[in-house]
This record gives sequence, structure tokens and C-alpha cells, in this order.
Amino acid sequence: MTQATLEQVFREQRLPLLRLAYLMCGSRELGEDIVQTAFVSAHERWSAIDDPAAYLRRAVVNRAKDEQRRHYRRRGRSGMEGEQAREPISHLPEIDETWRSIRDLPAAQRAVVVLHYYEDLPLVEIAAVLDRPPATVRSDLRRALDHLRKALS
Amino acid sequence: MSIPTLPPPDAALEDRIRATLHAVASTVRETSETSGTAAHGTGRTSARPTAHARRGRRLALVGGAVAVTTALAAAAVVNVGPEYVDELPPDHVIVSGEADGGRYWLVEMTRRVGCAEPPLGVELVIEEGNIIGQEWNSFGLGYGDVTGGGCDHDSSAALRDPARAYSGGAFSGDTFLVMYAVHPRVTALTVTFDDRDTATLPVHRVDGAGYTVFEVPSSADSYTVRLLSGDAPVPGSEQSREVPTP
Repeated sequence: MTQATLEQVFREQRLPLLRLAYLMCGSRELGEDIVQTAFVSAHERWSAIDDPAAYLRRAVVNRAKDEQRRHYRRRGRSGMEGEQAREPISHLPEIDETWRSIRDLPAAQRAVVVLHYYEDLPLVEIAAVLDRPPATVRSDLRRALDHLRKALS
Repeated sequence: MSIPTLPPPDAALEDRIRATLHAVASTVRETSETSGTAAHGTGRTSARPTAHARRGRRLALVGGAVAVTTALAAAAVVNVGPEYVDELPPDHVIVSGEADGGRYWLVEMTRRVGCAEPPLGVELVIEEGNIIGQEWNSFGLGYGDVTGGGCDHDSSAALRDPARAYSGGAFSGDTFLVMYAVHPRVTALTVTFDDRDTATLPVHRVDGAGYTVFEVPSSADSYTVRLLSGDAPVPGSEQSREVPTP
């Protein structure tokens, strides 16, 4: 695959990946880093990647999931929210409330919710992206929906 | 590999999740300059971005929009442009203030922020988020539903309804700042904090629409905004909100 193709993929995929990373980690700045790192990683093994879009999505999702876990660990230790940049408030009440509840989900559940309802991936594909058994993904989705149903009722 | 069974369907909940994720995602915007910067990052000499570059590429969201009389108008907005902060206060200041030890300015949008032309409207520049020599980091607000990837606004529906307003907020320190964009006929708005203290704020004309910004006292739990046209309240414009936590 040529360098031009890498650049083409970059131009086409960067914004969708930034959006996916933001949904996964809740921080634009961190999302930028995650996407940047994913492209650097892809570049290093570009010739071996059959499906760049799928590779990059998988890299972004899993790195964001790791970062979210680290964030929760830091918050758990310090009792603070960490160093994430403050995000402006949208002021659409239903969206604010739902987004807040989604952000509160554990990393694995949030990943499944984002991939299923934003990326429109079926559970078997989500299982492949997350490298988890489909049954586990199904359980994560069920638990996430139960949590959101209660939180938003 | 067997296909797992989906959880019991809850169409309303699923629609709400889906709509939320897409609405939130749409607030992340790319600029042409940031694309170019990051494109170099994929080259052979790429490296992790420096703190400076990382900040420069940051896609600050912008205040969301809210339609006072409509539950879900298209939201979103823009910002964080490619240009560097060269001076504070910035140019084209409409309203300025100080909150929690830091200054802030509501300014007319004159930067292109990645669009072909500067989007109509205003941006809120908060001192603590803008450092000389680094890139602007502000929150934009226009009058109308956001279109064109955040570069334009469709105000046709809003112009038919003077009660419709668009708002968004951000923190300066622990003080919540709220921006409003209102119909051209609206001349002022009143803000009541916790059903007690009321302030009347003039709106400032930018491209025909009215804009203002106010501080929510840190002691307040809620605030209620009412729009005025002259001395008369605009019917249906009252909107109460909880104050978010920083």
C-alpha cells in the first residue's frame, strides 16, 4: 500500500475516528492523542494491514477503553476528576442527561454501547473489535441498557 | 460463532441513545489546518505531538444550542481555530467580565475556524483556556440550527418564533457562564437565580440576532431566563435550568 493511500485514509477516517474516540473517552484532547497514536501505529505496519479502517477503529476503541480505565483508577485514588479538559455544556437537557449516563458506564459497557448505537455494528463484529466473546458483549450490552433505563427513567 | 441474542428491545431508549451519541459526535469538528498538521503525523518522521501541537489541534466543542420552545433543535456549534492567541483581550469584544479570578469576553466571530468564511455569531473566550502563543480555545454560538458541519446556521425556523433561543455554557474557574442567542425582536432578557434575585440584561446585535452572556452565581442551583421585547415578555420564552457542577 502506498503512502498516498495512507494519506487518503487519514483524510477520510480522521474525523470519524475523532468522533468515535470522543464518544469513547469523553475528552477531545485525549481523543486527539488516541487517534494520532492509532495512525502512528498503523503507519508502522501499514503494508500488513488489510483493512485500514477496521484496524484504526479497533486501535482507537481499545486505546480509549484503556485510557478510560486509567482515568477511573486515577479518580478512584485521588477522589478527583483527573486532568481532563472541561467541556462546555450543551444545554439540550435530554442529550445532556443521556450523555452523562453513558459516560458513567464502565469502559467495556460504554464501548459496546458506542459501537452498537453509533457505529451500528452487530454484536459479533463488536466482539471482534473488542476481542471478547460474543456472549460477554451481549451481557455488557444488556447490563448497560439496564443501567441506562434506570438512570433515565 | 453463534449470533448472540439482543437484549429485549426498548425502542424509545435505543432511539434516545442513538440520537444522543450522534448529536454529541457531531460537535467534534475538524479544521483544514488540523488535518494538515496531523497528516504530517502519519508520515515516516511522525512522533507523538508535543503539548503545543496537541493543544493546537484540539477541537473545542462549542456551546450547544437549545430551543426554548422546541425540545430538540439541532445543536452543536464550532470552535477553536487555527490562529494563535496574540493578545488578550481579543478584538471585537461585545461583552467582557471577570469571574472567579479570570477574565472572559464575548466577541464577534471573525475567525474562520476551519470554515470557508467565519461562521455567523459570537464566541466566548475564557482567559484561563487561552494562553498567549497557543491556539485559541473558545466556544461559539450562532442563532439558528447548525448546518454545514458547524460552519453555518439555518435561522429560518428560529426567525418565525421569537421565543426560540439558543444557549450554551462553559466554566471560568468554578463560575458557570451562559451565552444566549435570541431573535432580532428580543431586546433584553431577565435572569432569575433560584427564584430570588433577578437581573435584566441587554442583548447585543451581531448580524441581526441578539447575543449576551451572564454569570451564574456559584451559590445558585438553578436559573430562569425570560425574553423581553421592549418591556413586554415574549410569550413561551421562559426556560428554567439546573446549574451544572464544574
